[in-house]
Amino acid sequence: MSASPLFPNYTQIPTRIPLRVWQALRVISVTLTLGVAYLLAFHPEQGLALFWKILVPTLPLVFFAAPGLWRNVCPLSTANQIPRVFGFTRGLTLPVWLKEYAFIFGMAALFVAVPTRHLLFNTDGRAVAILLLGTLAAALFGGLLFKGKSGWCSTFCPLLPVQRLYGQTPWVLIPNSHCNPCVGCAKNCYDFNPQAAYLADQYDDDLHYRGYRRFFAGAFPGLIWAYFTTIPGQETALALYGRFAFTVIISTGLFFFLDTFLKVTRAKLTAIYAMGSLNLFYWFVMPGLVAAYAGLLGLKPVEWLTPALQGGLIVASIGWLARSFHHEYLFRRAATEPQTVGLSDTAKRALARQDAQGGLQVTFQPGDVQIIAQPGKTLLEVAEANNMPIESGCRMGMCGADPITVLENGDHLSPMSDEEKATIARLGRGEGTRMACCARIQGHVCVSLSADAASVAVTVPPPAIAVDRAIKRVVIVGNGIAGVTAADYVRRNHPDCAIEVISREAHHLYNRMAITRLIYGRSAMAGLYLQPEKWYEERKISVWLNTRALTIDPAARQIKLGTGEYLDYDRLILATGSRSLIPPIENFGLPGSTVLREAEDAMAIRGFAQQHHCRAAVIGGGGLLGLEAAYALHKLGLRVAVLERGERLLSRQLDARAAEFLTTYLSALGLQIVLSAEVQAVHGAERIESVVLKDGRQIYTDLFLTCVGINPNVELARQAGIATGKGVIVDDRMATNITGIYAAGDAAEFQGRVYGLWPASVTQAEIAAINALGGDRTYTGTVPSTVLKVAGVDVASVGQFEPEQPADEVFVHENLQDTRYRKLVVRDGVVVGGILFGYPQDHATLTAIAKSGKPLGANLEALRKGDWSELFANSDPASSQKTGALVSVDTADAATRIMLRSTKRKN
Amino acid sequence: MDASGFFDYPQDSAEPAQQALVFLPELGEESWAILLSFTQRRAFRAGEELLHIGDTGRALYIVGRGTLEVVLPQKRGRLLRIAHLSGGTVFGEQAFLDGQARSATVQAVTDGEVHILSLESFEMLAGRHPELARIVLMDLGRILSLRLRRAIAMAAKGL
Repeated sequence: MSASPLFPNYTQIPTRIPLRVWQALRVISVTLTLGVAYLLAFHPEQGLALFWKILVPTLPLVFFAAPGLWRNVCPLSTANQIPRVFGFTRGLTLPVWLKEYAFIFGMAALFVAVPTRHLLFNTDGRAVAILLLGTLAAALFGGLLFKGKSGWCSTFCPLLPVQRLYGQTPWVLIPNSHCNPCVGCAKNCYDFNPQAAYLADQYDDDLHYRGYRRFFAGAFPGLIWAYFTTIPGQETALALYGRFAFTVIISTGLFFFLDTFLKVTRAKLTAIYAMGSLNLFYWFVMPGLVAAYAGLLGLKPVEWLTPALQGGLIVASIGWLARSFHHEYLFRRAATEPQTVGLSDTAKRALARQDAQGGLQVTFQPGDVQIIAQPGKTLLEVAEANNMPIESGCRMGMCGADPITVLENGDHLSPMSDEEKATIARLGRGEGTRMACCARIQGHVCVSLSADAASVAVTVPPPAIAVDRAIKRVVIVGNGIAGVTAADYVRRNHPDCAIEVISREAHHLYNRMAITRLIYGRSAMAGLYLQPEKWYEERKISVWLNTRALTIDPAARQIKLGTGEYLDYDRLILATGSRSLIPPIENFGLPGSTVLREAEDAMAIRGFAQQHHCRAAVIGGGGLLGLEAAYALHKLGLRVAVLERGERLLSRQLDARAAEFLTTYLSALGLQIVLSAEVQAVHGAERIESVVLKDGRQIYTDLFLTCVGINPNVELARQAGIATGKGVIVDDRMATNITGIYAAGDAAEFQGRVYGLWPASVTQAEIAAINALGGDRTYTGTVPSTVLKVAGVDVASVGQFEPEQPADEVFVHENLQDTRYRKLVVRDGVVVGGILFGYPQDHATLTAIAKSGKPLGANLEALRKGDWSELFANSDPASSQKTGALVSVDTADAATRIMLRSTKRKN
Repeated sequence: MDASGFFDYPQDSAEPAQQALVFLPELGEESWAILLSFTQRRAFRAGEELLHIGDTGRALYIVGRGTLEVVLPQKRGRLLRIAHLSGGTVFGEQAFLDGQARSATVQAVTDGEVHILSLESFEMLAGRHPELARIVLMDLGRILSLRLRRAIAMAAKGL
């Protein structure tokens, strides 16, 4: 919506009255004035009646309602402007002392003229005529000498104080039509800005300037009172003037008394006095005015007209006061608006340079928010950076936390991977949906974050497998990603078997990777669920939430629930997941010492931190979860220390160099990183007060989280006689040693390895489900691919990041200026893993290359020459390795190590 | 108080405008480029609202192109403009520092572009370029200090 200026000046006030009309009115006005002067001089009775009974009592109402009207047609201002209009004004600037005292002159003239009415002007038509003509001449003379309206209208005019007092909050705004152009002749000019002028006077920094005007407001009711309480002819001139002076002093005294003791803002009292004066005046003159007008029109006024008009004026005055008070508030608000902050030319050049680089426009609906982003960024990165309401999870398109609907230009996004397609199919969303973390922008796009924009679901054709129709009941223990994926694939392949999912947790499938958000965020579980509510219902999957599977009877193919119920199964898939590994720490379990694994844990930590006003936290474990938890607590406002047992952070994901970069960044954020530190015990009376390290150091803390790894939940399987090691042992078909029972996810141990990774769980669950139904899929392992989800740092690790065999080649590229680092481990010409620090856009490519197991071919030669550009064609050109200058071959290592460093630019 | 905004007589504009505060006057172009790389760019269309009075949100806005206006919403949907923000100005610095509710609405007069430095982006800047973040904070402090001095001077003079 378009805004109107607060207190518009006369050039901003709209008007429909053309200048010609005003000019004509001015001619009429001067002519009438001369006519009145003639009447006063030669027909004083009529003249005096017209002047004192009609004209003068009407003026204050005009000042009150539409002061601009009078300012435009006033005969004195017309006279004053004649020299300017006809080009014979001297156009002098008013001397400073006159500027200061002109108002006092005008005020004094009024204060003398009013009592003199009783002595002279009320009865002597000629005197009034002379006064009128003399004033006209004075106004003309002022205009002859001084520029603009500074010779009379804005300075000496005795009516000006009254006009400004009554006209400070005009009901009808009429712009000044005299000054074209404005010559800036007067301070706080009423003709320039009629609404702000009086307020600016009240708040003028010049104590005297302000004081004269406040004095007038205070004195004016006294003048009016003195005038109307005078009985003509009862006192001497001296007594008369004396009484006027006395009354004015009383009135002013009362004003300053109230000014001192009333706790109101500055312009309120003057506004109240203004309305007091106006109503006092009409209290006295209204009967006469009504009679005069009635006489003029030849009518007989009804009795109630006078009190009705006086009452109406009181009501209007109250409305006027309310407006005036509000105007004062607005004036103060605007006048105290802080100075704006500008930019240097250097900054403007930098802005222009960035502008010239362009960028892609991403429009978010609803709200039509247009972001300009760099090509290659994911929609998730763009949305998060701009505080759009979006959730994130694995950042690999597998968890389904961040579906987004593409409304326009879907072809301007990077193509979908198989994982992303599978996730969208699991979510039951169709055409137009993308996982924001996978969709990299390559052109302008328009997307929607709102769920109801979700497109129509497309049915995914089931993989053609021969389903064993004898299978009627499938039970899945676990409602995490492995359990839900398994249920999804069972249903896709077997449309009519019964599927029972038993969930120990009280929640439907949620975004476990984002639970640290529950610590610092205030939206709790909202947005954390990964499936729509109806997902289970639509697939006829029955879920037992908050229910424990107690025992399995493999012989009877039956499972006993904690509720006492029994479930029969033809096939059983164990997706029991894992729990936090709790290292042997004395006293662990003391309130405030806990683990972080489930949503409930995270919410409990937030609750505890608030309840006990926690200020410091210690995290045991510098792995992915430990660092993400540390960051979450840091965002919650705690002072956080991360204790890592080993020599570096993320020892399962990063090499020493990358860990060093990460440590530097996290330390700069304010996290304290302590290496080679392991907790021995926690201490505290009622709740945790400190942790003691194995080397004897003690750290005071209000909260301690241990995040040292996971421990698969194998008790159920072990009790049933299923082979277990660290986890439930499975073969490459995800089958356990007992027929009909499969395992997948964190609970499963494959070739001695428990992955504990979302992508591995998805793949294993799919294979377990298909094989359980009679299919034949084999699992060959998962290339671990992880990202650290701490804002401002893009760390990703894929597969093997350290050479293991003598012939392994290692390629390292460091960019010290931008603190970027990347590393590839190549075995027999095939990438087996690597590390990316500061290259978020290359993560998907690296994962794909490592997974594919394809030889690098020509790219290997390029890499050996230090050219990474072919391999990561998406890579940000700004980080191009072309600046690399130093190539060192480190043969001390068993592997060939090609080092490439960007020279640090000096600027 | 400063009522000069209501009386910007035409011939005044020839005189040097009131000494404006400049954000990071000494910062070089390269450093500016780094700082800007931590901001989010947002395009706006004429009439679009960028900030609403009462909103909380700790972000600093740098106007790249276009003109914005600071408005106060009134009864019956009326909006009163109390200031203009043209290209090359900065706003939102107070809420960026104190996290309090926005004291006015900011909307676009023309099409244009702003660069937004959220507190989170600032944290990242501080993580990656602590020295630059320190300069930014010191300068915001300097600007607030100058404003405070002016406010004190106004109060001392106007009392």
